[in-house]
Amino acid sequence: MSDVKTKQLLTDPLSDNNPITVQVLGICSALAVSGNIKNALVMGVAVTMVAAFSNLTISSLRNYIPSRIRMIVQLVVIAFLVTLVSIFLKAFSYDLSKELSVYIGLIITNCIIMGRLEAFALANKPMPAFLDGIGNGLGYGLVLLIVGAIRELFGTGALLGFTIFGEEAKHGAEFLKHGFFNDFFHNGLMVLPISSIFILGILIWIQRSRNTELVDIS
Amino acid sequence: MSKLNTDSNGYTLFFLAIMVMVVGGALAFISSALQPTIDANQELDRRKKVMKAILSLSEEEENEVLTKEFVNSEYEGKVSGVLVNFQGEIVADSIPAKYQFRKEMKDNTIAQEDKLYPVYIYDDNGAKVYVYQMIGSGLWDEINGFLALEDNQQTIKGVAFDHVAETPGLGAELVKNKFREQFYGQSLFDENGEYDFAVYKAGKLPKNSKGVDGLAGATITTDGIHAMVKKTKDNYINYISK
Repeated sequence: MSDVKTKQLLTDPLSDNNPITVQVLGICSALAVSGNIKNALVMGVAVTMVAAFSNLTISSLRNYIPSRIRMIVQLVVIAFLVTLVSIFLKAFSYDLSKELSVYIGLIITNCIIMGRLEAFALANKPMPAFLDGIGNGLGYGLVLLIVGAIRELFGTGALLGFTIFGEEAKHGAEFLKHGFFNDFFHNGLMVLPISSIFILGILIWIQRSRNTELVDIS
Repeated sequence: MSKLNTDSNGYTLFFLAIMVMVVGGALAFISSALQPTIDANQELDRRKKVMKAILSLSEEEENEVLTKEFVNSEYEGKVSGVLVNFQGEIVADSIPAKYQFRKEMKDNTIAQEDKLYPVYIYDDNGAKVYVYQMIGSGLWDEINGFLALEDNQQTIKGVAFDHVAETPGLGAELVKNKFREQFYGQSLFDENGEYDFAVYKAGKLPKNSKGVDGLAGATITTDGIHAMVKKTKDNYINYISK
């Protein structure tokens, strides 16, 4: 396998084959967990890990898995890895696990992981499958991060927890105390998952207007 | 080697059996191996909240002071727990290991008057701090915490809150010092001894009035906190006024 192809496995999912905006997978969690940057970041990392290792496992076993129960096997592998992540977080990073408990469980139902297992891992060797998992996880994380940043900034007036806009800016850094910053009021819609639909729609629109090959005429 | 027939019923069942055994065994082993660590983490988290309510520190101080060693030594050395009934009588000199606060509070078959409530007493060089445990409902799920009163059983020494699933950035801000510090030093009662305390909707706190300004953009969580503090007062009022 050539180096060019290896690189594509990692970079394609970041733009032209993005799991969310192009493959339209994993939308549900992209709507729910993109309320702020921190959650988006951790979710991105967790999905990347699970996608990479479940791809690796399924690809290694691909010649032994009975085809009639392959989806059950995939689900068991995914659920196993997610439960593992959840137990380890609880034992070694309790504060983080408390903040993310619900979201970690949600990874099991993330269609990106199962989608990549079906579409890629079952037909490819373990190493490319592993890279494909990492690439798709990162592509997912990137979109989550963009949506999360927009939602956190306009929904709560902060970025990564640091206040930038709104009432609270009066207590913040000197340059934030002027009218422009603290006249702003939080947009309640941005906090709700619904706002991600609009933001994602706009992202998809921008991406397709820049690369017209992605436009699906049907 | 002849090609393995992966589609036969026998092989499918065999594969499933092996898979279930491997995955189930591995998870059971890891889970039980790490369970003591997880339990210790949960207990430390609870103790940390009790200490937060008692010490009423600023955010920087909390980050600096509340280390695992400090929390455990301070809690074991200076905090004692008692169980009181609704009438305010002490029914147990320590909190039994099998007593579960959440279960007791959520049990609808027991009336409020028949429930038992934990009180944590902190000995601050002679002056006592009384810590009462709170539980209530936020927007999405349970909110809970600890309310510490000073020796006079009137003034709030400190509070600590926690939540299960409040909205990040809005309702979930209840755990932050900026919100909690508003409680510190306020009295729960007026000069006639009547309950007089409120958590107002964000921005609705009247000027020169006592009370706490709620969380911006989280009216239902704010109402939940208001109701939770009031309910906690109701639960413990007979003990407090003794």
